[in-house]
Amino acid sequence: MLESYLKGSIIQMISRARQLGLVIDKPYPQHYDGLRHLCSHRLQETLDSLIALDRELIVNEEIQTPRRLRVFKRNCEQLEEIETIGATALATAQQEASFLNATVRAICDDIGYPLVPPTVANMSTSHFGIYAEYNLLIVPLLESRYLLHLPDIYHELAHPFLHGRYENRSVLDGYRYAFKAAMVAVSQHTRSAVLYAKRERAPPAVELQYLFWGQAWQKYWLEEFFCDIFAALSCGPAYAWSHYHLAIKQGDGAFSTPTNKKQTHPPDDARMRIILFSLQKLGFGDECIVLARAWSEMLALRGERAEPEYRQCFPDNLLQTIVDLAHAGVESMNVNLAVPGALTPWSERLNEAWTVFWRDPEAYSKWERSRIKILEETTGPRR
Amino acid sequence: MSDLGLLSSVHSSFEEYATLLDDVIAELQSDTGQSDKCQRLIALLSEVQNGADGGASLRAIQFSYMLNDAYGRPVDNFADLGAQLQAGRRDVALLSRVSALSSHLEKERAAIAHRMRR
Repeated sequence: MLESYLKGSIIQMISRARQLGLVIDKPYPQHYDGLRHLCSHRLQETLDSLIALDRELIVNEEIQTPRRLRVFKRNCEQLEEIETIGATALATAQQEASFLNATVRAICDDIGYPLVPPTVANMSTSHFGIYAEYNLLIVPLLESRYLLHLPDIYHELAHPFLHGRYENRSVLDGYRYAFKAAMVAVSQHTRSAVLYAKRERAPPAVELQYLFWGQAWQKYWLEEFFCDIFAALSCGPAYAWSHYHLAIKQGDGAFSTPTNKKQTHPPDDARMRIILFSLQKLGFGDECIVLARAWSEMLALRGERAEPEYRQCFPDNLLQTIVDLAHAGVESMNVNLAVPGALTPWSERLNEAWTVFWRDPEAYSKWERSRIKILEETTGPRR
Repeated sequence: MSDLGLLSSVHSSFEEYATLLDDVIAELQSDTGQSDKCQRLIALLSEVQNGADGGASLRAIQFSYMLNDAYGRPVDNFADLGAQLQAGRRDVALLSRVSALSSHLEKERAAIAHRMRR
């Protein structure tokens, strides 16, 4: 019965994929060419897989059907993703996005970004995010009218560095080597912690806790930390302020450390610490003092305090080691770093925005509106 | 906080390896000779044994973490599995082992995809 279902559903999905192809093949503005190509490529891969499923000769359902179900589910999700992400970005190409497309290209030029700059679409339902598969950066609808969160672009630009698509790009070798070295450092940290727990004759649950954290570090947290370090090193203190801004607006438990439930993002406080370590490495000592004070004050006012588990999971020495390794990896790509007194043009603009904000928070909005207007006129086409 | 950048990146790795494992299963079922995909899986499993300290590539190390349970324990004996594949075995027991690995990755991939859609 399940094979009968699959037979009908596969034919239906093939038809849907072909319809989607018609949407992707329409003409779009030139700066969407890259996205169009990636959508088209991914659609063809999915279509090929569906056709292969359709043509497969069923000899033994017990052996073949479980695999066919998994493949069909993945194909359906790929099609849904192409339709709701890639094709939707194409179909809703907006004026708002052309300023941000120009801005992202300018940022990439400034820092010597080693990959093709992503296309930008104003279609995020939460905050900034990047689909490395489509080289598509998504931001909220009105984000191009504000400056204070634009430093988060630098963070998103780092996610594709570890994507399988770029595995053989030699310009990323040093960065990927640094990431691998950081994985080894985390692994050694976990082993040492487990060994210590054994020596102390701690309950078995303590060892399991360290092993659980080790998995979260390797599968999720380390990549996020590397993106934070890249953003801090290439954008400067403005990135730390942007993190502060987002943590206040959307953060939930700055010291939140999971004990058995999956948590994909590391806690906000650990992220701020790693950002500050990165800025200190570049010589932003004075700025770090101000940032650390503002951060501590905010946490104190929210009544948040670090539990022992948080300190065990995110010790200073491990975070510092990761910053040292990531810094070497970023430098190996010849990216232009945010050096105090010699910031890159967009980094300077974003740091200036935060300086103006803190100098006179009430007058900031007016300043920002006039600044955006000038930038729109000078940064790039607004069609 | 937007998890999208991170989840999208992690999801694509799970998707890539779940697809690789299912492609290998399809080849084992059709009893064709050892293809590039099967060779790639054998090479990855061999690298996984070396571990991060033993010169394994970044992709192999990431693959090995995907094949662990929540506490970092491998879900199969990868040295043995690689050896069985290399020897050209095609029996039901071997198929079940590769199928279990694929299900393990698919489960986590589907959970990440679900989070991305929220």
